[in-house]
Amino acid sequence: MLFKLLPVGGMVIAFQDYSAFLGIRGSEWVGLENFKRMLTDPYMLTLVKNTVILAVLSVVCVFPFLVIFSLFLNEVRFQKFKGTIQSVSFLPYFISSAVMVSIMYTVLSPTSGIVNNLIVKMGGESVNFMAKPEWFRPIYIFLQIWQMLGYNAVIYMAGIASINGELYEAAEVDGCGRWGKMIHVTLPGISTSVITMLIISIGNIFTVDTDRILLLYNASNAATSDVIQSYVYRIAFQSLGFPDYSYGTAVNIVKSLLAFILVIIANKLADKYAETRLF
Amino acid sequence: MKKRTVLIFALILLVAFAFTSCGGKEETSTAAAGAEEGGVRSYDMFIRSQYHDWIKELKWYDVAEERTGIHVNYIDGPLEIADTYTEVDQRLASRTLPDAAMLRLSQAKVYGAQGAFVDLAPYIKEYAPNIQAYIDTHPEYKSFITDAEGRIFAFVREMPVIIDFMGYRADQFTEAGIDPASVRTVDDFTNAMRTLKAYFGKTNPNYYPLSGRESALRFAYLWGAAAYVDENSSGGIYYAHEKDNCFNIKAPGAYEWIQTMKMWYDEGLIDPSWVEGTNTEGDWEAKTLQGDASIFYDYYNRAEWFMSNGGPEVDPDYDMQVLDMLVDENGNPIKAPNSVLYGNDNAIAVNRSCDEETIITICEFMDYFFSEEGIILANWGVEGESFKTNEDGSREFIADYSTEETKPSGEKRWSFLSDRLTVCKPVDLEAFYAWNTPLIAEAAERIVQDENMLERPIVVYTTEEEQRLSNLIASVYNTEVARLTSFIVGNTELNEANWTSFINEMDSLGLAEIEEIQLTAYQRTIGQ
Repeated sequence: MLFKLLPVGGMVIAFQDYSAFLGIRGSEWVGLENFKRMLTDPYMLTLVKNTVILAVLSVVCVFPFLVIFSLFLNEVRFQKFKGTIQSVSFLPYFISSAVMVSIMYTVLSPTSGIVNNLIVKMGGESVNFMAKPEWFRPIYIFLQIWQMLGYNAVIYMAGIASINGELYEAAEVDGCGRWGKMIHVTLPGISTSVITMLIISIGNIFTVDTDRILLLYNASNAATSDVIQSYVYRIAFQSLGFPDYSYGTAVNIVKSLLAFILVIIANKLADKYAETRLF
Repeated sequence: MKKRTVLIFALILLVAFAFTSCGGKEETSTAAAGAEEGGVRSYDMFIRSQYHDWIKELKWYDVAEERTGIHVNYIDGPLEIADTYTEVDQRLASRTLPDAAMLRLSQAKVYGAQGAFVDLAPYIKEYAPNIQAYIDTHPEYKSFITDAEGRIFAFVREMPVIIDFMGYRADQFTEAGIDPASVRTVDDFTNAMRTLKAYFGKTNPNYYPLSGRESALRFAYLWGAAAYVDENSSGGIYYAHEKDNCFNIKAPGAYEWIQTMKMWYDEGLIDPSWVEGTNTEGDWEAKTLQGDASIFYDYYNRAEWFMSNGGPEVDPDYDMQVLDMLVDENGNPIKAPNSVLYGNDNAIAVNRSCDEETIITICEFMDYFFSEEGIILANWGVEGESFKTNEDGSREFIADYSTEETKPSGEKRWSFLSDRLTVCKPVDLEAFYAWNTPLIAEAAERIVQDENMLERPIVVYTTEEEQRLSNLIASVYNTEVARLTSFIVGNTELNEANWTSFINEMDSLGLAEIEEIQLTAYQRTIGQ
């Protein structure tokens, strides 16, 4: 209530010309002015396009990868090795975006990075991956997978652990190999967790990682890396002495509403086709 | 039922608490404001932490506090200047802003009009005669700091007129067989870079003659494509870009500017990571120190920085010098953009919740630095200790720049780097440039001339204009930079059709409106 619901009341500033000094009660009421401005902002279309592409890629590429990783991890027989993999994959979750992006800059450096050294040794030409608009999204997705791998594995592994062992025995009797058990027992066994995580992912579809975006953003890759959040950040916090909190909030309200609609749709679809739902 | 009542009560309390903290009109008067501490008057001031660190080291500042009998308790803000301005907003919202605060002038005007800051105009008139005299004799200062209703919500400092210098490794030029005096035009400059590339690039694949920090889009002026505003027209984003990263994509030379930069990029004459925006200031410094780059165009004293921060240790022959201004085909110097005399940054406002005595104390302290004695103290120091007066009346530093400026951080020193905010004061340009090593002092004497500098008029904007400009620039400037970079690195083909479509796109995004606002504001300014 305190940390999630109460701050929602602050969103009223989207309908005001908010002044930090005058506060919510003293600021001028401007109605839907900020929303109108958003809809008529010629740059908004580019931002929405970049945001949606990135968000869809995050769901389409990241989500299945995390499920597959957990399924394969479950098949590892040596418990110590399995434990080590799980711990190592979980570690990046605790590393800040700033550190992860710095690691990427080092690894992909066009002059001293290991990747470019390999490319050059194999006869290729050094590439400044961080400056290529076409490489921004793959790098972002890679970082997303890297960071979320272990965290999601913990959730799915917990689901897998709760699957009744007798189901595996029955599958064996029916002639299933390891692959068959994975497809016909493990995957359906964690379907509730998978669908829950999928709905949460869809809910976060417009919530790209702003820290990561701002750190990866540069003049060369701006064509793909400038998203709603980076724009709102510029408007709200880095403008020339006029932090426009109201406009930033208006954009975020629209973003949240769209995400909420997507969650409802995903929940309905999950209920209809997978007979499970989040709420 | 009881549980439910308690829950509802708790909820009401929480809502009440949240709305109270979201900014009512309560005034929380600061304690000890203008208080006498053992006969010394004092006040609190919020400032960027780095500025406070600099102030603590200044010998002349201590003298000023002693002479005025006023002590300032500085309250450290964040390290970054943008964060400092943001914290002013937060402190205003939470009513924790101390007696005075460093902020942007636009913030002072907006919040001042809403009642957050003291209208200083009547206080200046009564308690700050030196500032009043300065205002009376500098009408552009008056119109810059005064709002439409004649109110003054902040003290604004005068800034030294700074122009960037082109630094070059004289030893590398000599080694590659280039006579610096022969580098006069842009073509000479390009050819010199080609010679350097051929000479050093054959053994060092990471060598690029020209490197730098932040934006590489700083050479537009060489093609007459710097942003500007005059009484008839305006081109490019001039607001907040009077000196740095100022370009006008509609200028006749703009296309050639990008064409040439593309050529530099394609031929490996310019550091690609700089153009692409992926290098840091540290990367540039390291490259320039270790010989992976020979030329830069940056802050006026950067050449000295490389000399005193490891250059000669890396290479005993390391010799950074400053190139003359480039000239056009007729032999006339190509004028470069320079800083304006008064800027929006680092203004000082006084909290409305201050008592009368504190406001007067602040005004009197500020006023001291506009008095003759204060101006000499803040620009030259103490006679006999940091400077002497020659027989002809001119002044000369006797404190040694290198000795003083290389003292360990935190140690007291004589320092007169007026480009930093210490106090609001008129700048003595002679002292500013004299307080340098011989390398920079000589270069300044050679380069800081009117004939080398573009007209950089002071434009006074209304709050509404600034607000609109601020929002438009947030999308237009970044997109311009991204598109120009895309042309240079080859992600977008550079041809007339794409260039025209780029200009049209920027106009529809708001560039045309920005130019219109700048022109209107300037015409109004000169009208005043």
